[in-house]
Amino acid sequence: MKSSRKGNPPSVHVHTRLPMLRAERDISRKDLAELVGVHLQTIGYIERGEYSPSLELGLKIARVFKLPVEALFSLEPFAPLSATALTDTA
Amino acid sequence: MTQLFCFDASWCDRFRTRRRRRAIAGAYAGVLGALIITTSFFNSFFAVMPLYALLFAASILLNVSTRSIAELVTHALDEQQMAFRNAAYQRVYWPATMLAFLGGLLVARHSDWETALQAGALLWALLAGMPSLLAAWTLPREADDEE
Repeated sequence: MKSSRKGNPPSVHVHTRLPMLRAERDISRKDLAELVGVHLQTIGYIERGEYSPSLELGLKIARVFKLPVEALFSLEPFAPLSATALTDTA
Repeated sequence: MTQLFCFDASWCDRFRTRRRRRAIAGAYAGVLGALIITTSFFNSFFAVMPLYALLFAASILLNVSTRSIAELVTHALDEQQMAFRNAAYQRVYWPATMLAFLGGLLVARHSDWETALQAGALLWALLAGMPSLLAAWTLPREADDEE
């Protein structure tokens, strides 16, 4: 376990697609925060990788987007969307 | 309580940019330093009272800038705020206990009431503000902080 940024609680770095999905579904940070019952800034910290959400919060966010949690969060960096799209069409 | 002191109100966001948060933390530390120096020169607690008033004002600003995560009751915070709060408290644990030990020694050496009051008040000011001070310095930028 190591700290991802100075001053943060120790955590592994969790990669997320949250900003992209939020933009795609037109959900504001404030709306999402209200839907999952956290502070607005918490969503911002998660999106910027400053904070890794608990399993409970990850599941709640996934439920809002009606997606499996691993579609939103990953321990490995997500492949660029362009690469995925190219693979899918090939 | 939260709304009353605007600890989480959006109209206080101007105090929550990292630059201002750190400036407030610096000001708070400056008042603490002045308090330590003044206390060592004046033997009367009431002589340093204005500095405690200043420290109180600085502590309110410090709490506004950190959304008071170090001092609010647990159920008023979410998991991220609790995690940052825990990290701040964990980091100040050893310095705080060491300060408490040194303060205890100071009081034991000078058994007069006035010195004990001054040492106690100073110790309280140092220990109580530590978690907020650390949080103000180390919290990451907020989402809309563009300074």
